[in-house]
Amino acid sequence: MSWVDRPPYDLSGVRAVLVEDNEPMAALITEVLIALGLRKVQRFADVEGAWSVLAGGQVDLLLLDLVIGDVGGGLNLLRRVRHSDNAALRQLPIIVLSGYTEQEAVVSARDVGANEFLAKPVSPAGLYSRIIAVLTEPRPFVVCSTYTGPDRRRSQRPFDGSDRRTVEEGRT
Amino acid sequence: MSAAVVMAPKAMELPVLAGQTLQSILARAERAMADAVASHGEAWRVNALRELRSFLPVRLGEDAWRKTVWRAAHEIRGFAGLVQRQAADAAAGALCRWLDQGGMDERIGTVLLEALLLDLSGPGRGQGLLLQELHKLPGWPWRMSAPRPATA
Repeated sequence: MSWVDRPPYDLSGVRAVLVEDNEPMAALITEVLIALGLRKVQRFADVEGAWSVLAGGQVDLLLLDLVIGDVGGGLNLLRRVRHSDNAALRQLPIIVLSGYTEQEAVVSARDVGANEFLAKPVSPAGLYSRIIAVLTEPRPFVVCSTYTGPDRRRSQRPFDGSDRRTVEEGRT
Repeated sequence: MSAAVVMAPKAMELPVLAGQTLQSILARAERAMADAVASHGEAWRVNALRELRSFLPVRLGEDAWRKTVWRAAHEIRGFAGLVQRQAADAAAGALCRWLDQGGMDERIGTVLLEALLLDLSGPGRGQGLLLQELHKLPGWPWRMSAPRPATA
């Protein structure tokens, strides 16, 4: 069932962290999140401030701009989460928000383990649908030597040979 | 390459919100977004102009200029949130043609921003203002008309 056909969800219990160093954009996104029903939104303009809260493990959702301080700032935080020693934090749903929509930027975010990539300007409907998707229908989570993050394969294609994947149920 | 471990993350149980429809919630969020843009108009402008300056290269070839301006317009569109893509693209296209003939200064950046921000109050209005203002710029080489309504 598409998200449009479902009843609206109560997001008041979702603990979200927004990392955005552009103040007007941060204010706008926060207003939209509150209007969508979120009540626990913590806003940070820097990576270290955000990390201090994320490391506590009491967060359900991370909304992250790619450019925090410098171009690699957002990606560095994303990478830090995905390589955390805390297994629950490692699987934290992460939505990247960025005005940089060149293929290179999108692929970089995907390869570091972003769940979703949302191009600015964001729409409330786009934001809501991504939040619902990452929270209620999380994709399988893959851990291997070269990648940690949600399964990048959105469709199953047949292939020859043995599957190198080992499946574990539930969170680690 | 080593084997991969695949886990099934637990989905979050979200309660259904009683007494409201998804449409009403999204409409409320759209209004919140419009209000946020309107109440921070000057801050948007200052921020966007600062970002625009950061994009300005000292000396670049034509292709790099073109890419730079498109990126700037795209970034501004992101800041403005509600700016119409068509107007932003048209503005960037006009700027590219002008930049091919010269350079970019703060004035042209300001004109672009004002035009794009004006689109917040009515899609298409910014494009007309942009073209009108561009004609006043010294050295503006192009004779362009404001967009006309399509006729059958």
